[in-house]
Amino acid sequence: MGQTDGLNNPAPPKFIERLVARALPRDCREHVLGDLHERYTSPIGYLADAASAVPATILSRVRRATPLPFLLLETLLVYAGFLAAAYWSRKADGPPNAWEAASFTAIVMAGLLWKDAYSGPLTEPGFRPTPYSPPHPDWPPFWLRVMAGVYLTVYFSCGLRTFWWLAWPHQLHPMVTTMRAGCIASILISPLRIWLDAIREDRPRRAR
Amino acid sequence: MARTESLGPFEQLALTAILALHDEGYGVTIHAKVEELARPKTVSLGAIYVTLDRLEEKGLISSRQSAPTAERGGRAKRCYRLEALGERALHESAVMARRMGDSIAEIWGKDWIGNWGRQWGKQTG
Repeated sequence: MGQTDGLNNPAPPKFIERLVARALPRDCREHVLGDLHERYTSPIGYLADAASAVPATILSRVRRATPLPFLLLETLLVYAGFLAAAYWSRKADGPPNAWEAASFTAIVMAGLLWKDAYSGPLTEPGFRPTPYSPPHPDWPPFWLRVMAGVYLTVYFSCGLRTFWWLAWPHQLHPMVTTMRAGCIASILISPLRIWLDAIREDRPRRAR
Repeated sequence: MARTESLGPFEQLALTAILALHDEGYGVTIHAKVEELARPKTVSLGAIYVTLDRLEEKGLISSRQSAPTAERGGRAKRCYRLEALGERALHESAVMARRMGDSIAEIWGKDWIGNWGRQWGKQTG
């Protein structure tokens, strides 16, 4: 406390401001931080404003990046992908399990929503809301993106497996099924997201 | 004539605030104006962002980034302006609200708004 900006107005503590900036999606970081700064009276008030603004901007951003019907379709595809993978690797990992499929779907969807919330601004030319957006629109063609998606999903699944094991060692997802499910989900979701981006072109967009 | 978007009560408040601020409204000022219009209800800042985002997605408003200012810690504002579609939607809402008010006035009498406003003002201080 006790900090001021250049005009001797009270300014939020840098540490808290940095934390809030981290939590905000890039697209709205600038103006939301500015608004919070302008409304600043005390650290508690700042945190209360941030607690209202940050979740709202994240949800808004997710909703805008992926419409609800697409989100439901993606959830269904991930769930179906896991069941297909479980059937495929039933000899190695046992029969399909509905609970495992549901928890896998929840984790993958949480990852995708996280990705949607924190990817680049929707107005950036070449923004692609695929699970593994390219760094530049002209770089990888579609097939390469799908390949990269498959690779990253395998990597992601293994990483998730480690965290899952640390938290719930007795409820470990079967390894082969998880990896195969990740590949299948990625292959199913990537074209859907590329298509979503194509049909999004005609929709009104945020001014830059 | 093409159908306009139907607006929710909170969207009507946000559009009215943008109109009242003469296309120079941004998060903080729009929030203050909406709170003033929605009195005695309080409105969270987050609700304003969500609503502005939704209105922009519907094409009812547009936004532009202003130059950074020192009062905001060197950060830019996002100023919102009403688009033609938004003006039409707000106009329709205002006409509908007027019609509703007239219908109620026929039953409760013409000075019901004044009496109710005074009574509400006393209750809310």
